Amino acid sequence: MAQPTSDRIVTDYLKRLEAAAAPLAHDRRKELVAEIREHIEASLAESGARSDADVRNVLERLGSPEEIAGAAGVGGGGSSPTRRAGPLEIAALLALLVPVAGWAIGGVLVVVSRAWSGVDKVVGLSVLLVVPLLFSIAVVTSSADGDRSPIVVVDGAEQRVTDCPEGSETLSGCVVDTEGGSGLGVVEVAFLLGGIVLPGLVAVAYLGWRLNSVPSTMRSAFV
Amino acid sequence: MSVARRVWRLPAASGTMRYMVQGETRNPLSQLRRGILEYCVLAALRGGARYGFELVRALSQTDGLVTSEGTIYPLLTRLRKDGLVNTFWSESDAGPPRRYYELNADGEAALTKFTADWTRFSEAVSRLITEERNGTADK
Repeated sequence: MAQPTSDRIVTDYLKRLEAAAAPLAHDRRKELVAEIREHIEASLAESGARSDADVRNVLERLGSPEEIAGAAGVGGGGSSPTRRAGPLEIAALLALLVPVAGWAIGGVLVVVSRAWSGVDKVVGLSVLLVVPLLFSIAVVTSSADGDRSPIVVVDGAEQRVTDCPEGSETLSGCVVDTEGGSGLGVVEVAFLLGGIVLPGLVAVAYLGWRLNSVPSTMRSAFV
Repeated sequence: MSVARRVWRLPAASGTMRYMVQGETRNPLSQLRRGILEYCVLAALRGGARYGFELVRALSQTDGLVTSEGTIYPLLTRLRKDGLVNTFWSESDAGPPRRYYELNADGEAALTKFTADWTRFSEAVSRLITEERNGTADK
């Protein structure tokens, strides 16, 4: 029976198509592969035959996976390329650069966007949790030599930070100038800034890269 | 070979030869095809809504128009995104529901404009080629 081989030919072809369409947005890529698969099935159903030769003929008429992906905008696009980085994606990346407040907005926009695959979204957004976590650990461990958390002088008595006076809140406590100079050191401030600013930068860098990455094999097809 | 033709060929030689060696994706005619094809798709929809496979079949009847049938699907998506066609799903007895494409007002307008431009353009090109061949071009 020729059937198993012919099925494998089709599967191989569709795999190549999926690979060639990798730079496309996730939804778009899946849709394209589904359309081509349906076309192949309809073609073979129409002719009624399913031999290897029939399958190869259908695939020949379809064109190479690279050609089809090229028509979908891979490798510089056709006459009206469908840009993957639309206004939604740009807004999402810009929002993520704004510490904390922007992360919520940016996070929502990333989830809503169809330009990133689910995996990309999870990885890109988890950076926003992981990096601050790492920095918090670093801050805590760096002040492990005696309790160096900021001290607030209330009614003449020293108290540890719980309620911060208005306007002096930061990630690790209140920044208050106290006698004894046990406020935030340069190192802690650096960690704070890193923990606030860096996650956004890393997330944007990763998501931006995923948006624009083109496999090197595609580049060589165009002089 | 006339002097005019020989001189014309020299500067273009490297580009043209490279195009021909690289294969049809760099052939000027294939680039033309790509740009024209979407209007051919719109024209094919004039008779009423059709689904993807149907359209591909209709277009591949015309000899030399479609070299790679698979490229019509991304083209249809682009037409949809550009707002020149509307789509709807319809049940089919033969299997899963099919997506149908139909021309909308914007598509009609684009097609009308293209038809005028294309007629003017193709007539000018044909005229030029005929003049060259008959040697009636200015020396």
